[in-house]
Formats: sequence, C-alpha cells, structure tokens
Amino acid sequence: MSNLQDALNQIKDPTVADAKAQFEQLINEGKAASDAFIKSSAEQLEQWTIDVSNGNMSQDEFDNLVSAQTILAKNFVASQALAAQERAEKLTIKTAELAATKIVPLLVAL
Amino acid sequence: MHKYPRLFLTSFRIALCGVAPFLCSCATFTEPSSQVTLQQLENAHLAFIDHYTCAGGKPAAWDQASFDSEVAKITQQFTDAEAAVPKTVPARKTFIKNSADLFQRDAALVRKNHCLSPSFAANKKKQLQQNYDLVLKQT
Repeated sequence: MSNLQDALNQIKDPTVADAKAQFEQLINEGKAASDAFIKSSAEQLEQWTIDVSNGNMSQDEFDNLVSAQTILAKNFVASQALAAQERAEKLTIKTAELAATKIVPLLVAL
Repeated sequence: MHKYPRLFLTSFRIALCGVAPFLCSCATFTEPSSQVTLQQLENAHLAFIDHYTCAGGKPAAWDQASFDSEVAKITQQFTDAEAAVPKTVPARKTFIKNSADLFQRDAALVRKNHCLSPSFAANKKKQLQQNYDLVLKQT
C-alpha cells in the first residue's frame, strides 16, 4: 500500500464511508496547512495509517503514537491564539481520534 | 554626598567590571547547558528505541533485569532534568514532564511486547526528533 487512498480502499464497510471521507479530507487539509506542527502531524498520521494497513505496525503501536501525538498536540493547541485553537484541535487531535476509533481498528481486522 | 566622589566612582567601576563577566557567563552558560540536557534526554530516548527495535522482525532474548535497569536510569535522567529547571521556566518544565510521560509509554509498550516493529521505531524516532527540534529551536 503506497498511499492513504489505497489503504482506505481496503475498508469496504459502507457504515464507515463517511468516516473514511472525513478522515481523508482532514489529512489533506492538515498537510496543506501553513503551520509546521499541523502539517507534520497530518503527514505522520497518514504514514502511520499506511503502515498499519501494510501490516507493518500493530494497533498497540499505532495507539502509542497517537496518544503521544495527542499530548504534544494539546500543548500546541493551548499555545495558539483563541481563534485558531478550534481548527488546530480539529486537524491534530480530532483527526487522530477519528483514525484510532473508526479507521485503524478496521484496517487491523482485515 | 560622598566624601571622595572620584574614589567612589572608581570603586564602583571596578566592582562593575568584576560582576559583568560573571553575569555574562551566567547568560551564556544557562541556555547552552539546558540545551545539552534536552539533547541528552532525546539521545537517551532514541537509543532506547533503537535498543528495543525487533531485529529481523523477532525480539532478541529478553533480559528483564537489564530492561528494568535501563528504564530506571533514563527515568532518573528525566527526573533530574525536570528538577533542575527553575520554576520561572514553566514551559520547559512541562516539556520535560511530557517527554518523560512519552518515555514511560514506550517503556510500557516494550515491557508488553519485548520489542518494537521497525516501522514503529522509525515513526517514533521521527516524532521524538520533531518534538525536540521544535523546542530546541525556540531556545
């Protein structure tokens, strides 16, 4: 699996179609962000998802990376101006939560 | 008024000359030394990840005593580093505390699985490096 689209295409369950689309959109939005932390978080999360879909990482390992990134992201979000906090949280913490709860469990189960 | 103003000023200048280099040395000593500490914490954590990366996809022979000793040593490094940060630099203190927490999570993962996949190790090292780079650039 070389890209996120390929990884997500493996999930055929129609009940998570919306979650897949939302996740892909959030990753793309994050990668296009001008802020280095948001951009890097999105790039890393994409890579972790691909690694899980290739069977190169376990759910445990994915969860470890996500929980670590969440700690870092909480600090980052808190350091942002109030107006920018909601977007920063959406593109870092919420995106990681979406992957951990809706996407990766299905990739691991394949 | 001072009885000998010229003498007073001269003494003041001499005192100033004596104190200034000390103040300057404090300013230049504190920052590099805290950067060195952060670098040491980063290196210790990265070396731990390297040490417990599965070789050829399989865990090496498990040595509980060696693992416990290594974790205790690195944990102590984090504890000492956090204690050395003055209260006037709360962001640095929080950073070290968070980094110590991240290390404990990685140690727990190794304790459970006895080794880390090469992909996880690469991703974790990248995450740690970016995290430390961000802080080191700010100092």
